[in-house]
Amino acid sequence: MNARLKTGGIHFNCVAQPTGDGAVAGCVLAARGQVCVKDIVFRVIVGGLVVSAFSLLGALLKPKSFAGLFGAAPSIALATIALTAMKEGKEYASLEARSMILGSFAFCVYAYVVSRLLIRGRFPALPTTAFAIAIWFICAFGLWYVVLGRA
Amino acid sequence: MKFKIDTSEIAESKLYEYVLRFVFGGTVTAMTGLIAKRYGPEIGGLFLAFPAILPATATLIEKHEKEKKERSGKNGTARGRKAAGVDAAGAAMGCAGLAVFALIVWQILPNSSSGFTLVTATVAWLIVAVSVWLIREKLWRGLARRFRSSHHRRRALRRPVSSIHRRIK
Repeated sequence: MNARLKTGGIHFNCVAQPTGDGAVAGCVLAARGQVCVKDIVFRVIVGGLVVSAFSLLGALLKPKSFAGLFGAAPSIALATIALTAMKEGKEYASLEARSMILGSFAFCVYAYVVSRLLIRGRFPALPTTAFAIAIWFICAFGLWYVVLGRA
Repeated sequence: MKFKIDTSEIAESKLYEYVLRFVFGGTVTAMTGLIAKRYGPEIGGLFLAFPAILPATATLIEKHEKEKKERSGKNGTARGRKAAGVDAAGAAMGCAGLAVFALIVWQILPNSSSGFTLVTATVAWLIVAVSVWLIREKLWRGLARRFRSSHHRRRALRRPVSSIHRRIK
């Protein structure tokens, strides 16, 4: 029943396939670098729920600096890692987690710059947080290149 | 300073704000999966620490604080931005926990079950993030107290001299 409906590289029907290393490939086409829509929908729902839950938890807490801790909660990782480990294998998910360490350093720089800019009160929150995403990209990919890219 | 639970913020939030968070979080999670599939786990893993909630949260905090201040007839722009900035400073502190979460997953996932790994890493994230916050609060308050007391001491030492000067004049 795999891949009955096709739209370019995107497929709507997936079937679980056991792989050699004990992982279960949710979509037989995923191994060929193609995308399964069920997988995307599942990620959107789980990711949306986990991110919203942490966001709600942050909104409930006072003071604001403490609530801010939940802005750096591992919400995407929690929504993704179990699914990735199940489909691609634990080694694959472990490699993702190694890169996540670098991403978290980039997040720290981004959040610090955003906090300094906003506390000074010159710029509104939306453009500040949106444009400062460039800082995250520069730091994350810069660190990746220095630490992992040359290996 | 102690932390507490305040439900008034939830009462102020509108439905579209929850929908916005859900859509934003879901989109970023799905994008992370697609990036990992296209460019491999080493690039995809970077996006597991992508600031997914922060822009939406900061914007909503700014809006709520501004509205609160404007209800009392004052301009709340500066207060709103400052509150969003304080929230972002908290997120910067929370990144230490995020790095520890990733470190634990990287080290123990290949030899343990996913459930055990994620529970252990999440508990570690919470402990580290809260500890960093508490240490920073204690240090900050300690430094502020020390600065205040030294400032008062300097003023107290200066006072008799100035009063003598006044008397001479």
